[in-house]
Amino acid sequence: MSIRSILMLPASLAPAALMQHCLFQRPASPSQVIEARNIDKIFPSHEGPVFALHEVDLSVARGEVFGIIGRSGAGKSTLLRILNLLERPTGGEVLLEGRVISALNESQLRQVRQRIGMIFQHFNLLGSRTVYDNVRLPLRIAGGLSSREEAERIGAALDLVGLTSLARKYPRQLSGGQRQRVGIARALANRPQLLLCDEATSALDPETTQSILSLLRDINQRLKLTIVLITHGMDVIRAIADRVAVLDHGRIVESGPLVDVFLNPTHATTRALLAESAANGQQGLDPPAAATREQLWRLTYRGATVATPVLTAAAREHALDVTIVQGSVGRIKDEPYAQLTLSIPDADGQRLQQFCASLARRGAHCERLS
Amino acid sequence: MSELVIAASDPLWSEILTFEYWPEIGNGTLDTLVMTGVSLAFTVLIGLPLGVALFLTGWTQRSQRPALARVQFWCYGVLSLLVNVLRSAPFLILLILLIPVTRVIVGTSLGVQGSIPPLVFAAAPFFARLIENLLREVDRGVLEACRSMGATTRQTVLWALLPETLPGILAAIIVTAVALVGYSAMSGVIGGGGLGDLAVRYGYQRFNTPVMLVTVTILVLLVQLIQVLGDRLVARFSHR
Repeated sequence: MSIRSILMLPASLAPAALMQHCLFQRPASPSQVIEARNIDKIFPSHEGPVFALHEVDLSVARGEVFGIIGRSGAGKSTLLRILNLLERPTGGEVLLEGRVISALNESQLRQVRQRIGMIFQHFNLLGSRTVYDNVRLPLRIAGGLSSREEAERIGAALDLVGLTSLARKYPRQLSGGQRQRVGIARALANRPQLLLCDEATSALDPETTQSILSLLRDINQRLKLTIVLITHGMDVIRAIADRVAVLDHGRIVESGPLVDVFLNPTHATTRALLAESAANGQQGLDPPAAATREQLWRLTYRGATVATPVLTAAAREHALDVTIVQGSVGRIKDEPYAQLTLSIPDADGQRLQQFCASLARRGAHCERLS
Repeated sequence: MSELVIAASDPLWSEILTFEYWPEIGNGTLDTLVMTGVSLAFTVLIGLPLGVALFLTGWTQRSQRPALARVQFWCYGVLSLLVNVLRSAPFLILLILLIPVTRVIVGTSLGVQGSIPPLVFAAAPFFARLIENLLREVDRGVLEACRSMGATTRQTVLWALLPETLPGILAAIIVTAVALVGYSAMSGVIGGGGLGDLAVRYGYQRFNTPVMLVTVTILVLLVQLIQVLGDRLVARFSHR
């Protein structure tokens, strides 16, 4: 444990925690696989410098699926390419397993990249090579394996993505979903520490998208492989991410665990993206005509609470009648959730307060919208 | 049968079928094949790396690092100028201008040997440009994938770029071979040997129409053969 990594700890950390950090966290395997600190990326242009990224911080823990979402032009692609230094940041640093990689030279970077897998929207396979040879390419590049070891690795990678029988085919003979599976096998062949996904499902139909996403999830769980993915689709994030960051005009405007961001979006861009995604986009009813005298509240609960009659129990207790004007109940990744917009008659403040307290006691969060 | 008889009784046909130049035409054909073959081999040997160099230093591959980008800029400028100069001179002029150079390289400026260096000088830059353009057509995504896997430039070129463009490279070789057949005929003017030499000496200078017709026919057949075989080869290596 170097002095430096101690110094990098936040100043607010209590001494006990510091001790614990020093004693139990081995420097060889820090819990953060990849970190970006204070990343700026400026592109020169005829109209002057353009900020593609501004003061971006992110840190991805081992075994995590980290999703970055944003509209096109938000800087997602640039950010992803900065993580494996295909693009060099103008300012800030990138750390892979605690080691600063943004200061490395090109040949050192090549070594680092050999252990970071990447898959692409348009697959980027070699059309002139068979599936087998495509998957072999990263192994040839890294070198140092006997042809038997190579064959074993390729076999294992193809097996993992379910393409063993297609090893001798050429990419043009495959469907889009199969091509992306080849891309995934190629990215995994050299046993990467990290997998970067660049809009990996954006060129696929919805059904294939689901199968690729479940494959990625399966890989994440079976191999404990850390995944960073960028997408413009909330559905992708919802299906696979553990944590999410929302990128808007080169800044991270919101980030946190998936369910938190989904249920309590604070930034306008996040809300807009959520509203566009299918499951959250149903048009709610207009509040009743008497809305002037009604109050709109948003009720959110998740986990085991979803299976309990929170709302009716609290309503009965306080003898209140409520109307549900909008809402959704379902799962985000694996967590059940319910989010309802309620219209409550203009009762006196104290009764409402008690109503909310009673909901909170039962595990639901209540907030006033109007 | 009767048509053959008529054909044979036609003065031109009977002359062609019986004339005494067949051995010389045979030798000329062989010379043309050797000139085209050998100069094609050298053209590919020189033009392919030159084309790759043009591509790697060209504007599509400019580095983000200013120092490296400057080196690329100057290398491209020099190579490109060289290629343009060689390509802009009409082949006939190039043949004559290069006579001293040819003497230094192969010891003579005459015959089959003497016509190979100018053929290579003329065809290699042409071939290099074809290769440069082909490489630019390769999907940028493939290059990015190679970079993301940590490939060196050499690995990217040998294991991704060239295999990806192989059908195109074969087609470019065919185009160049056909051009070389034509150029080699032109070198007959300065005593280069081959079918062109025959056509010039007999057909043009001695008004021997049958010899000229035969040599031209053989050239047409040769080009046709190269193209058909070449197309098959291209199809064989296309996986798109």
